[in-house]
Amino acid sequence: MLLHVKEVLSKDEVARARAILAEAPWADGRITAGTQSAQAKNNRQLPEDCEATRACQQLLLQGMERHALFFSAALPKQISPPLFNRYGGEANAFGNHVDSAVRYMRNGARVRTDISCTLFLSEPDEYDGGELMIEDTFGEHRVKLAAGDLVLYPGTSVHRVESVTRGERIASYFWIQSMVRSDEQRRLLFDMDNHLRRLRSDSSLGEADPSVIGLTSTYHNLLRMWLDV
Amino acid sequence: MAKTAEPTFGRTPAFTHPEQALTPLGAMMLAASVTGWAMPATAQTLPAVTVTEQADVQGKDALLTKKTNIGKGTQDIRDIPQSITVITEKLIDDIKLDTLKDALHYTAGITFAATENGTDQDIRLRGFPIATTGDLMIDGMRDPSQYDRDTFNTERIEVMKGSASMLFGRGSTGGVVNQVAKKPMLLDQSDVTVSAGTMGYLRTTVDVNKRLTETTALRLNAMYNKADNDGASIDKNGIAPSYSWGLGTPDEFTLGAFYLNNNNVPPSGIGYVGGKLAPVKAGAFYGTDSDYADGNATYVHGNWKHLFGDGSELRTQFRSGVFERQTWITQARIGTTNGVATTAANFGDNTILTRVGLAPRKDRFKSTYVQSDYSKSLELGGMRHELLAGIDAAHEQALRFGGYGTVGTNYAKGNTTVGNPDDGTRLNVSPTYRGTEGYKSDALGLYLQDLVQVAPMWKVLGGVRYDKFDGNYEQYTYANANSTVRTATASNSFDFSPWSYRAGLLFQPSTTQSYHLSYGTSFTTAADTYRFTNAQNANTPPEKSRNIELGAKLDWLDGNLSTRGAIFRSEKFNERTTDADFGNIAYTLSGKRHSTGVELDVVGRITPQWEVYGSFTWIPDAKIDAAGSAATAQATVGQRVGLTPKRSGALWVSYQANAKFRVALGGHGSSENFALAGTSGAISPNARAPGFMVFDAMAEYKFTPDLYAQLNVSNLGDKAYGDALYPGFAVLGAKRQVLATIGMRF
Repeated sequence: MLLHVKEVLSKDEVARARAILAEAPWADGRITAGTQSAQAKNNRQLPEDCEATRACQQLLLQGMERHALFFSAALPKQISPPLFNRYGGEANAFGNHVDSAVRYMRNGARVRTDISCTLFLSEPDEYDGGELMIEDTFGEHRVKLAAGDLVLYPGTSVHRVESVTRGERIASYFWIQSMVRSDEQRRLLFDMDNHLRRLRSDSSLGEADPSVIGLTSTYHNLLRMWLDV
Repeated sequence: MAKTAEPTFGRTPAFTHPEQALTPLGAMMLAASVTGWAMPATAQTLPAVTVTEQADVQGKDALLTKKTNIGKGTQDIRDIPQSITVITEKLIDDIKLDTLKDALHYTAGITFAATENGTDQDIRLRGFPIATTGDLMIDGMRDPSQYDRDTFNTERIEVMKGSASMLFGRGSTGGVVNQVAKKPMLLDQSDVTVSAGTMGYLRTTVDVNKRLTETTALRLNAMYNKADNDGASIDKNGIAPSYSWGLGTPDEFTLGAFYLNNNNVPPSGIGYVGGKLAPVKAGAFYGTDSDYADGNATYVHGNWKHLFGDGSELRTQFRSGVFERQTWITQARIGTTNGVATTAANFGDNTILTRVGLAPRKDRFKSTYVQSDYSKSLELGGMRHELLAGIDAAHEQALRFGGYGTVGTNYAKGNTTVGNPDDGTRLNVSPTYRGTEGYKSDALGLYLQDLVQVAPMWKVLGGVRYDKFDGNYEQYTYANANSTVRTATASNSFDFSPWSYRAGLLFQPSTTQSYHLSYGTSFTTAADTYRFTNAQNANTPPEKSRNIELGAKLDWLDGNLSTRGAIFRSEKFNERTTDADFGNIAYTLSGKRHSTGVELDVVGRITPQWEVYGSFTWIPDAKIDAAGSAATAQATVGQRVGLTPKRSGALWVSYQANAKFRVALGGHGSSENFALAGTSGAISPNARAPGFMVFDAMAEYKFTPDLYAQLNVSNLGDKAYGDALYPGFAVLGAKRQVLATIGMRF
């Protein structure tokens, strides 16, 4: 499932994050890459442990916490701390790669990367190129979103970031271990949830309708069947 | 059908707009568990989503931590109904808190007793001893011997205030100090620091963490430290390797070793003048080059954490080691000034100081500890229970030696004058030792604690512990003062089987507020403390204490800032109101005392630029309620308890000027303080040390995120203050020092 989640951060929050990141101590992106993807990676990235990273992580996590659609789609069990990268100038691209299956946290905890997320912090008109290209079973997708918007896609997909030929592309990226491991099942649940939402808001049916209650029950029972808590 | 699903639909009053009620189902459950959004109590909720970021911040990077291991398992600080102050590695690195003692200076309510046996770690919290023999922990397990603890292998220091024998067994009247050791992590990270400074200071630390495979890692910490300190020199080194396997799997193992070696010349004590601290310069050393406080600590440790399929956890650890120490320290007594008695008025550079070597001491302590702690969460009777149960066993053995022959006790080391500190005197004699006392004990403890969520906002804590303690003491006598021929051995023994309790009520109306009311008891088998070896003091019952506390832990600014406050009353029965030195004439365990006060802590980030750590204690009332058995050696009923200043505190504020530059200023201090109470034997029982404030400052420049330079100035005002007090003398704090540090992470 590839999903565009709008306005995870407000424009105001984007501006705050950008202000922090403008002052931040950027470093070579290869510090977090595995040996294979290090060959492909050419960008700059913020160290995981600096003040700026933590401040922006807070902003992002708050944004996600209040975003209902995001939760419904991701059903997160663990969210790895968001990281930040910057493409532009000499360091402007990240070739085809697959994310490592597991993210190791500094405290020894691990996050299985079921879902990859990229949150855009630069507006599309601020740079040329820089599209996130995701290959999934339906082919290749080209993603370039408004600042504050997020794309979530299966961690299993091969993806790359096209060269930024003008301006700078700043984004945050992170991974989610979902309570529902299978992308397919998560997608079904999400679809069902969305349709149910429509039924519930439909004035002729409403929330008390027996079918709505029945389908809600089915939603929960599927969740129970597939859940890994 | 399907009525089960209905509660999820329950519209809460918070959802006034129809579209808000139409939150997706998955989101309603999950988001509620993350943010605490209003939800019907009956809603089906999934377990809380773990936003890993919060647990992920290393102590190296922040002053604020919300988790602690001091309650044996890992707990949220907000779930512990007692005052807790945590000193993270960042504060240690920022202020250059090289030793445990330095670090504890930054915890309010802590004072130090100068002692005749030269340990620099006779610590008081709320006025009660945090005995090295029972209340210092490493990873929640006793670390009881006397040695000069260094922080090179310490990730953070947790101070839990109030009685806690229910968790730790004997000790803990004032509280417990837990040193959390650095452990292997699944990442590659190395930190190297080199500091150089005034008074010949050189310190280098190495912290290498290497991830070897998906589940194994190795960590090595090492330290080398030297300083001349104008006479009171430091010469120490340490190494602590540890290896973990099975990390992230249900069975995590760690094996490690620790070695620390000290060859220091300790600061000298100086007598009081007219009931006040001698007005000498900060850091003035009036000892000799022959003084020493040598010691080494060597131990091995192991840890096994097993995660059961049902989510419960069993932690088993052991530690076994040998600790050796020998000291011969100088006390500078005030002599005459220009031929007449010294007073505050004529005290000056010409004042003669008669140097007396405190009795040479040497001891060897061996200890082995094993403990298992089991924690489990479960639903029982419709309520959530957090169960904690454990068993621990200890075997301890000590041999103590005293000087004999020429350098037996109180050996005169020659005179100097106030104007002539660090005069380079080197004596042509040194102590020789013979065994004076032996001590052996076995202890076993069993405990059970339950934290029950009795209602959505209320938790109740109850715990009980049973201890079995058998001790055996021997005292040796010799043919004469110059002989090593042992003529007699007097032995005593005792066994105690006390029960300890802990109860608490927690009210947590939101994720940012936690209020507690708690009650705890503790006991101390005083006979395991230094020199409590004769019938008079060994055969009296253990000290008992109880502690009542009402407190609040509040989070602000999205959890970036925490404040903690508590009002407490601690009471101790069978109190050792007299100094241990009078143990031969008085039943030392016979008094009663109490202290009542308020503690406040604030820690965290106010804005992304400003970070703060503050700790303050106010004890308006600390009195002796009943006194000892010997009129000549007892404290006075109604008197304020020694080493319990009314106010004490510490503050550290840092400002990140830009991405590369950070400055910080802080300090610690206390109001007027005085030593242990006692009416005879000691030279100046009423001597006072005035209130003081010592300031420290730091500036840090990061060339890159991984390379920084740091400049520290400690004791900015070069203040001379009474750091550790004894009735007969005081040990003043260190003088101003400037340190430059280069640190690298790679």
